[in-house]
Amino acid sequence: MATDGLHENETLASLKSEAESLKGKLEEERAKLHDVELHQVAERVEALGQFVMKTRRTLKGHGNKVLCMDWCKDKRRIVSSSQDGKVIVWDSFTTNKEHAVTMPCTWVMACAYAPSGCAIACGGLDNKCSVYPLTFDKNENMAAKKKSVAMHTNYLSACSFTNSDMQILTASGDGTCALWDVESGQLLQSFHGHGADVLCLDLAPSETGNTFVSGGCDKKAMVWDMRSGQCVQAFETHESDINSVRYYPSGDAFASGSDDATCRLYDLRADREVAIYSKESIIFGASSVDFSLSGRLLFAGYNDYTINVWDVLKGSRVSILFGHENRVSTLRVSPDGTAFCSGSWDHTLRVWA
Amino acid sequence: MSGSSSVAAMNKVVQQLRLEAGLNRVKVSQAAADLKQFCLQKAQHDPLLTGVSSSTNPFRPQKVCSFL
Repeated sequence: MATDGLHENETLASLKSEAESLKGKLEEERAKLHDVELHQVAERVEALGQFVMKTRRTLKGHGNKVLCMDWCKDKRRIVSSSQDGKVIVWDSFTTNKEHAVTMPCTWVMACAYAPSGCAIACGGLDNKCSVYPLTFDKNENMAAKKKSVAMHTNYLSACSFTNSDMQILTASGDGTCALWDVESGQLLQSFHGHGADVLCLDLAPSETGNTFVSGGCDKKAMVWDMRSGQCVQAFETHESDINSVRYYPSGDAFASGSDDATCRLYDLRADREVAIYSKESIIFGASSVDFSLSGRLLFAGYNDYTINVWDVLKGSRVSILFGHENRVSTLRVSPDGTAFCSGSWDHTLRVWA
Repeated sequence: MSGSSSVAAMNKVVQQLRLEAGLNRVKVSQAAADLKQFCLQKAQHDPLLTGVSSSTNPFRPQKVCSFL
């Protein structure tokens, strides 16, 4: 009826104006608290000296671009996945390959090590996340024990076990994140809100509670409550896709790396961006970021084949690392902070210390 | 009907914004001071920051032992 249409239009209009006024109020609130910049607070902090960081190990064996890697809690094993469909588990001390499995799809964009060290998870263009128990029995075929856990309607871009081997968090090109029970494959919670592909996620350090952050092609970073499925905070200051997000070790902030060639730090308690790590000379996207143990250093891998090391507090670059012969696609600091590993489109992984 | 679904969608947006507007925020000066404090406290235990010696870092080259 004509009057219903009119009523709906009025409701829509009033909702739109409420949204606008709320957005304005949010900006005002955030601006009021913006009394100082992080680097100003850090002015008197002693500057960092010269860093000597070199490639200490090179892991060769993938037949195509390395897309993702993760460390085992034992601080020495690494799992990596590639465009060639292979997932390899390495001993990073000796560079030996301990396990290898061929996925039924190419572009395995995500892989993760289980907290127990007894399984790995991976997925990509198959739209799934599968878990493979790691076995040392030569007679056992790893692929035979494969368990399909997550099902998305588009590619899997990221996955991570929660505190146990029992649950997995996934991010997908279908614009959602989801929490799954590994044993039953049941969907426990889904997270809707991104307006485009979700490219990355990171779980908050266990002491900080049940939240995680995700970043996507909609330029937004969103923080989620794992129990309710609710988005609790959202940040939209990047000018392009967010390729990587990583929590600051205290859990009170997180860093992001984007195709807009910047990395940024967002503080969760101030509810705003508090630092930008950029240089005019850096024009290629940052694909992956991670913090050193104290949070003072931010390592970022870029599409121009380099790794930049940033002083998180002062906002300046302290080192630039060369070595990879193509884009750096993935980067993680080891669990005990003694080294970090980078994976690249040049088919190799490098361990730096 | 497209009319009611855009109202529903708009409703979700407003709900989300109301939630975010109700957040308790801290001043950047306070938040930044805490970030700085955390870094400085943990600095000693950050091997990549302090540069751990060859004997304790499993990845750095060891001096070769030889039997004389």
